[in-house]
Amino acid sequence: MSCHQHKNFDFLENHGDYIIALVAQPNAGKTTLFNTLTGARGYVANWPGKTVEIFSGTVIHHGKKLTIIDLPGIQSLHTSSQEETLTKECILENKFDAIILLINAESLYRSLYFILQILELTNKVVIAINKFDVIERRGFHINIAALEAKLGVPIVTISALKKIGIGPLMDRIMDLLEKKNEKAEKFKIDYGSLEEYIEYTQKFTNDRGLAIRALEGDDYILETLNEKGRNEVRRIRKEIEEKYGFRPEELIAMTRYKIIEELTQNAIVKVNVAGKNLEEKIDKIMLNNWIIGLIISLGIILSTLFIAFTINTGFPLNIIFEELGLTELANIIETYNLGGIISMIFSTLSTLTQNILEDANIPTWFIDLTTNGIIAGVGAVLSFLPLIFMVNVVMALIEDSGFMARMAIIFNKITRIVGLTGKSFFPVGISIACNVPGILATRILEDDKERFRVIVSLPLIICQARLIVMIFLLSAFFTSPLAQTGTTLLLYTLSFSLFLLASKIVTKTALKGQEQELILELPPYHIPSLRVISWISWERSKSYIIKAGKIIFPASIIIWTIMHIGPNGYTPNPNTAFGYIIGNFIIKAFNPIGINSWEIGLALLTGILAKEIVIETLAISFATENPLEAVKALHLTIPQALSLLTFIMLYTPCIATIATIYSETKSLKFVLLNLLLQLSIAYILSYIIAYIAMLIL
Amino acid sequence: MKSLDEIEVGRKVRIVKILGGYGLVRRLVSLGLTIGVELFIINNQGPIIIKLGDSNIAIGKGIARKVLVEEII
Repeated sequence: MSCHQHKNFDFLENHGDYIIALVAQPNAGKTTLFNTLTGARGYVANWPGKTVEIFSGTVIHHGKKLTIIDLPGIQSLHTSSQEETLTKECILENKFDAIILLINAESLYRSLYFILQILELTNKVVIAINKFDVIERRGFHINIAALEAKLGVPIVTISALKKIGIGPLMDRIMDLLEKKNEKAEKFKIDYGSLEEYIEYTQKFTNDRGLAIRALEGDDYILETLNEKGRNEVRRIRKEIEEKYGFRPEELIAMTRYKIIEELTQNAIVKVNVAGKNLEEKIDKIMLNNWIIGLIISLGIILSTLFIAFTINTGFPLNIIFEELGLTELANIIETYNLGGIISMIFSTLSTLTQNILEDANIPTWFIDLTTNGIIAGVGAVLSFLPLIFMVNVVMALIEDSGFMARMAIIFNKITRIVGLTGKSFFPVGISIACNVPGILATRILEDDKERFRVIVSLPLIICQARLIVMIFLLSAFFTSPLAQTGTTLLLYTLSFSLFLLASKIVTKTALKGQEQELILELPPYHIPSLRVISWISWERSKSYIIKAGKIIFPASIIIWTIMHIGPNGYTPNPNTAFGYIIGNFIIKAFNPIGINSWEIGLALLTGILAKEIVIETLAISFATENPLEAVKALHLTIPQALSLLTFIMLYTPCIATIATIYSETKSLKFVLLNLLLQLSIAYILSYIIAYIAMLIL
Repeated sequence: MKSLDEIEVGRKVRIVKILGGYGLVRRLVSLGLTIGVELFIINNQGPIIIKLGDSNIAIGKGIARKVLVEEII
């Protein structure tokens, strides 16, 4: 008796909303996963008509009750034993709402054949790769995104034993059940010259996957065909063998293995792991003396950030070259960096569009919106990309080489004071470049409470965009390099101290809970693999474009509207636009210390879009091409300038960061907490600094 | 019986007792640290670093204080 006669699984009492089959090869860790999923509350049911015992258990996930059926382990779909046949029949009958296909990472190559066999039959599959951590420790890396793209089904890496990845696995299954990412197409292999036979057989089986199995000579499928179909399939099987000298099942297997060869070549990398001796030597240097370890760690972080910064914007290498008198070299770096190239492309595109639209007699406001609103907005999203990509590359290097875990131990001594584990240094380091990947990097923190504490305070770290604004304003306010450098160091010290302070405050108030203690495994050192680095950094950068793009783009249109639409409709002059009114309103907050310019008020608002825009807005408001002139036209006193600078460095994070806080915490409460925290810190400090400066100067 | 943070570098110990709730025990077990397991102390500056089979694990001092061990060598 096969399983289709019991397709409703009536013998299972109260099976809930969905029935999920757990399918695995032997030794993949199926029982462990089953126990982890169901909390070992499974019970034995006798499969009707069979002497095979199967386990079933239930899981409640997001309010839905799922019954998990533990099918007997099965090596492949070419099987003979009664238990294995049961599993195979159930898969062939396709009677489950979804299948968890559990694979042992240690034998991925072997398992891929099994995966392909099943995917040809059904796409209601989530693949779980177990013991992922074990093979990573041995230096293997699997490019999950590439495998997913090739196979067309979700893949989750888990450790059934350590209970890692179980949540994401259940989420993927729910997505599949709720048809959130429905893909009509089943996985398809091109069998070349066998294709015409498959097509012909499909007339009898009504399904490509079943047709392939029939051609392979699967008795179970052949039995389900009518007399004519059965005879026809037997006839063409003979025909194929005579024509090609191989039996159809051999030809099919060869094709599948060729696909597997390609898949593993493109998606699996083995790196050489440093020997134990070398590892001990490096660890002795890194971990025996805390000060030396700290210096090395800071050196690694700062030098890698320096390289990332320079490739992206030329800064700070251009300034160093200029100080050395190598003006030409400085100019080259300033122009031909990634950020510069992207902005060149967009300004060309903008001019080109403007010319075309002007020739076509389109209204001025529309041309303005397209070029200065939309194209500039897309440009803003993309201009962030090189930096975020570079930072991700740099951090992936530190992570993949094994240095990150050691640095976490070293920084633990500092972060412990405010109740954070040393791992939190990692998001902080990334945030120096950009807060968005910094917030994404908090995912490495095990404890959710700790993670949210870090996320809420993290945007107090001054990012590169703010550094650019800082350098720019400093060069306008001060002429002495000493004053410039001094203020820069002061602001960074302030920024890090405030991060630690804010973490301590939220730990004691809004996000109370046990302070976490460090416990982590030290992976072996190894030379980072270029491919692994590119996978990690591309995946992280891609998530930035998608998330931030959705917000930065519409926000830039809104900003354009504020700057160009006034009570009397479209105006090219911000003086008569709503921006004037809004700017005037905002700057009232700074009237007590004598800052009155509406331009600054407006710049603070647009700065929320992206911090660099502060400078740009000032330039547009004063209708000048040279932003330096605009800042000088503000006629700020030194206390006012310092106060304003402090505020710009610390007030609400940019919109991309705000969006990322929301998408990572899924909580409006944390977004508001962050905004409140930063606005009040920035506002209070800007007043304190103004008054102290007035007293001293 | 001593706690893990009191052991000198280079000694081999066996875990005898873990003073902690279910959460801590689970975290330790997931890294292979459970009663009866034998391990070496590699470093005790800052977090305690132990060698367990093939892997090195860093454990914060607070947790180390809750792991009671007996010295073997």
